[in-house]
Amino acid sequence: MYTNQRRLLEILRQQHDKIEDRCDGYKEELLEKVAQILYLERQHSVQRTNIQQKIMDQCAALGEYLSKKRTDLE
Amino acid sequence: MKLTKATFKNFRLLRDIELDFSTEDKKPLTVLRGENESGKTTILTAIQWALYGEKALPEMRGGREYRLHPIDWDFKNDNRVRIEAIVEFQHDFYTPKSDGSFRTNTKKFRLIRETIEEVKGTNFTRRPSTCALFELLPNGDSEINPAEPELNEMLPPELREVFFTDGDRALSFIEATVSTKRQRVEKAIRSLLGLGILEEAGKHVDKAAIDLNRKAQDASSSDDLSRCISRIEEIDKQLSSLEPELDELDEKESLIQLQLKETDKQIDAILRKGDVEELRRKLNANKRNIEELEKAETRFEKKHIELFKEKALAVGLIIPQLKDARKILDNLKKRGTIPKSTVPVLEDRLELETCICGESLKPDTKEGAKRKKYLENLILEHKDSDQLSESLTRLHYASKDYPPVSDVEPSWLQMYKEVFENRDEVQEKLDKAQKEAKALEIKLDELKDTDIQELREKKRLLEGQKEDIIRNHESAKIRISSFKREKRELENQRDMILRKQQRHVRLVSELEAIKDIQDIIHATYQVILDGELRNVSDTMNEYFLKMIVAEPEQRAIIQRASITPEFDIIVYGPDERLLDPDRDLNGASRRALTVSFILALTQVSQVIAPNVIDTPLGMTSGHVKRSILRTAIENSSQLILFLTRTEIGGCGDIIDESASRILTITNSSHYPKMLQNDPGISENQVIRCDCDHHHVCEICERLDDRSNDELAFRKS
Repeated sequence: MYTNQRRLLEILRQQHDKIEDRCDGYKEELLEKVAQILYLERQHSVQRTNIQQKIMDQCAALGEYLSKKRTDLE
Repeated sequence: MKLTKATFKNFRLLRDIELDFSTEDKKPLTVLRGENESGKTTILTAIQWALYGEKALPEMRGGREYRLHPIDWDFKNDNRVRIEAIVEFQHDFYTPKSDGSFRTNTKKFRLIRETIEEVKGTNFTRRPSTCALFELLPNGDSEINPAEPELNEMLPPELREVFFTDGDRALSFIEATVSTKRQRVEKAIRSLLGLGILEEAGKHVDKAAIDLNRKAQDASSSDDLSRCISRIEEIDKQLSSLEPELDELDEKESLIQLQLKETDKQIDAILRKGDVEELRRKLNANKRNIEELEKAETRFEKKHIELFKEKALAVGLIIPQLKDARKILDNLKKRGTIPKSTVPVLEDRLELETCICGESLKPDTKEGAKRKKYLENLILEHKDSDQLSESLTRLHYASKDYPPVSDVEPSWLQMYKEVFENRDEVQEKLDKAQKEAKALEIKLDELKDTDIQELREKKRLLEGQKEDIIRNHESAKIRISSFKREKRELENQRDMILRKQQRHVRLVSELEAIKDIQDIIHATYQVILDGELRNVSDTMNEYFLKMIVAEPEQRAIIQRASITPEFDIIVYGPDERLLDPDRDLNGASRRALTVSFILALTQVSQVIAPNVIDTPLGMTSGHVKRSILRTAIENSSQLILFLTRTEIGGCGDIIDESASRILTITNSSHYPKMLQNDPGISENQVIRCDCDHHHVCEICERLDDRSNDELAFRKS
């Protein structure tokens, strides 16, 4: 996790704790994706990027992870 | 992030200089000593240019570019100047552990920024700077490409003014128009607490969720699902217009709040001066008083004049002379000189026509006529001397009527004293009343332009508008909350239908994942907005009171400082009276308030970053100066202060305790006017040495240092 705003991370972590763990490893993956989204946003704020697509990719990647885990379980 | 080392080449006066900084947790302070025009501000600019590029350079008037090359560069010999800044720093990366804590991994980096300026006489052109970032590893440096995003993540550009502060520019958080200050404070808070980034992320994730919902609708053939998704879409539309509406209402409320505050201030100011009617009443009463006093003054004036016509005054003035005259007159009486009655006796005889001897004085006889003629001549002879004698006789008897001097004198003086005192007293009262009338008239003139009724009416209207906004706000909030609840139910319904259809496992997972991401980002934003602003405000207050050594219990003039939900920094005096930081605080308190705000922000956000402050102790002295320094040291992870010798004065012991690095910079061009020794350099250049506030060397010794017995000379 890149951001050095510890307080932001602490609060983010507290909110993350309230989320249901949908499958094994899902919550770690979720936290990583949220952190990555914030990193991309910061990057976008100084250097315009295709932020919407990048964020959709992150969300899709998390969905794919969840889907794959579920399929694996079946 | 902590700075470890900086090297500059051909950056204005910094032709070739290396600086190193303390990274110790227990002694976080680095002091860079330098007198005015020694290059302190240039170093502050150079570090910022290295880290943030051209946008960190000061704006010049008339759109001119800020020159980087040394002003005395010999362009005839070489017109291309290569300017370089190398900054080394370390940065902590956090990895969350399963117990909720974070594992810290510290990495070291070197950043190299360079550019070339081509100098043509007084003009120059500059190429865009290039920046290279290297991670310093035990087995060699590893370049990070591209450097900018990584760098921006470690030291966000929007926080530049929080971490790199010019002592005077620092006051921009409290010295500006209300809206500008508010924007600056809001920007700093939002940046350091990550609110801006969270808000943007929330919007983008919401948009991604809407798109995914549409995708689900397209993929499904179920009518129920289609209805469900259509409704979610409708709700999203409603929410996307309601949420900005809520923000707009917030802004409006904040604006009205501001206008209300201003109107209250104007009303207060007028009421402090006084109510127009009340002032008129006072002025009329005052004028009546003046008339009475003027009458009294005329009365006493007349009495004063009359006093000089008093017999008592004449007596008082004549008595001392009369004393001597009495002696003379008594003596004349004793000798029989007075009273003298020769002339009346002779005139009596002439009238009787018989002399004292019995002879006739009738002129019908020759003898009688002769005697009469004789007596007439005698009367003429004695007339002059008898007139004098008569006057003396009258004086003698008149003087008998007057009492002795000692009995007369006090009575007139007493009368004079009384009249004089009364007149004086009336005059004094009259002067005072006239002055009061003048002051009241001035106040009334000032008030004539301002109609307090108009202001009160304006306030009433604003309060009405505020109530409407609050009502609309509440209503929008209720609708948002209701839509969100409905959306959640619909989402569950949608996911259930999709799950039943088996083939949409991936889609369901994506929808669930995006919802989790949305929940975390929105909830984090809300928690920070609701709680952390108060934390920053409380922490700022704690530091501020500590810095200015204020004891609220002892009725200090400054009771507390606070940040309002509208991002205004406000200061309270006794009885919760508002003080304007811009006007009511002295220079030292304003500086303390700004430094407190910066430190509180850094502390609450728990961001590890350097606080580099140029001349933070200017305009401060004594306890306040020491306290600002001590509080800043205690609450910074890395504190780099650029101080003049005057600023260090009285704080040497604190610097000894907390600084693990002290450097001195000297401008070579200060020889011979200010420097003791010739630096032997023909160009203007900043030179550094390792002298602290106890030492001088050949490089930094100044002309007035010889008279300072506390300084020890060290070999450079």
